[in-house]
Amino acid sequence: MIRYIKKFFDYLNRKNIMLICGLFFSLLFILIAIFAEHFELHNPTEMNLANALTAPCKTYPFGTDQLGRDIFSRIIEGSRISLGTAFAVVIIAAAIGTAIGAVSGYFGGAMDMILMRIVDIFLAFPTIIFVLALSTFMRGNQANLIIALCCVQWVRYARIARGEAVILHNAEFVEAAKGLGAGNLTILFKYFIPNLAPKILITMSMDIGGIILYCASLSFLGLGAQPPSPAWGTMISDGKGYLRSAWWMTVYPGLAVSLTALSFNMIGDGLRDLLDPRMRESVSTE
Amino acid sequence: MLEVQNLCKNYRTGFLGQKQVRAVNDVSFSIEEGEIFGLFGQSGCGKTTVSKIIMGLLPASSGKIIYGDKDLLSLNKKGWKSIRREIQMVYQHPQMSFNPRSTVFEACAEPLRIYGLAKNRQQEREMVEQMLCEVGVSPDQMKKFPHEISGGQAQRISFARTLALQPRLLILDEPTSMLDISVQAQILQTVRKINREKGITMLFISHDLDVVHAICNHVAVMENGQIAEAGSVEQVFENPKHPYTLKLLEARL
Repeated sequence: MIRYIKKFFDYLNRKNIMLICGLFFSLLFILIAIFAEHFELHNPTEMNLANALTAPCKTYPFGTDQLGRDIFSRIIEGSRISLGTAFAVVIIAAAIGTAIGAVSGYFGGAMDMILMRIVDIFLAFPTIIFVLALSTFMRGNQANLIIALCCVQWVRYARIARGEAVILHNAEFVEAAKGLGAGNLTILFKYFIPNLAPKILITMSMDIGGIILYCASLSFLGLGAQPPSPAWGTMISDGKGYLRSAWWMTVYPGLAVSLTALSFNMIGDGLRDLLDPRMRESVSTE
Repeated sequence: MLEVQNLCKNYRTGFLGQKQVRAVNDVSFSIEEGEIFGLFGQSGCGKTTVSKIIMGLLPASSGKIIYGDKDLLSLNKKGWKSIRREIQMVYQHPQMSFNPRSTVFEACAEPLRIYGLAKNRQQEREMVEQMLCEVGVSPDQMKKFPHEISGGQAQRISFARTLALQPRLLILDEPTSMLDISVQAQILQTVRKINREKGITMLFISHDLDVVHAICNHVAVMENGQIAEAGSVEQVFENPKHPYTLKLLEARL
């Protein structure tokens, strides 16, 4: 039995089913987030105390919360916050990190030394604690949460970009470009960035899932988007007091978090296998 | 045309860097206008280091390199800019001297763009086509990526790329060592043709006796970072004086 399951997964791996599934579901979630108004059955922030804590039924497919708000509509509205944060963080962090890493690896010497020690300091803190500290220090809102997450996430990109840049720096084609008379900017933009791009893209796609989770845990703790805006973490935190009587208040937002994180992780894994087969665990071809 | 005087390059190694390796030790030779000068020696004897120092890619420890009326080693960045075009180099590994992410066309257009030699896209295209034609590469190779072309083609394109800048001195760092014999002969013919038709002076670095014998006018034999013997090809190969040269000639099949 286990053998057959294993074979099934091997098959999925070979055909890049992971990537296709991941892409399909992620696109679905992204489209839902963009066109959220069209999917919402009720106003996600409208309270209706008469219908509080209604179990899932036809009018309220995922039930209502303690204030009578429709959980389904709130989850859909919340996907905007979640995906928006994740994409913003990944793009900003990757841009900053790649630039710093590439410059550090290209010029080397004292600058490389200083930049990489800064990166080491950032890496020494556990991510979640660092973000918590930063976002409590700043006022709790969506933009500040994005800034706090960027402060932590850029480090990964800087490390990866720097490692690749050091290899590129010694490559013969970079030397040839210098010999032709290409300036530093030309080399950085035409030679380094295109050659760094695959690794960075893979890391970006693997990061999105993680950031969705961070975003949920931080809003669970009351940071980030403030009520009444329906962040998934806030919804789970609201529901935890009613876990025995109204399970739908926590289960559905929880499912939303795990499914989106899962589908984005699948894209990441699939992309990695596709772009850089060396990083893949060995897959038997029998 | 180019005179290398007492060139040294030392590396410090070992714990706290107290050991000194003399990669290039008191090397002197001079290259005359229009000739092909051979720098011959075993792998690891410092040939490539010398070439990189002449290219300005590596700083030297001491010595002088006189080019025209300038000393290349004391030039600053601005000074290099003015003569960068005149000294060019073709590298050893055919495909590895091209950016894996850009096509043959982009690789050839790169020098034109750096120096703003083409007025517009159309002219750039024509110039690249002409460049490739000169070294015997058909224009349909332009859309390919470096890993899709053969070693011989890549080396020709490498020539084309440097020739676009109309250099006066071309350094060839073992341009044929990674190619098989038949392609080697074609490339050597191209080298000879470029030398004769364009009058470009060449510094030909090689570890292959036959290649050096076939193509060079003057030759310097390097051993462990030092010049063992130098002179015209006939002189060195037919009447070797230094024991190292003798040993190498005897080792020849």
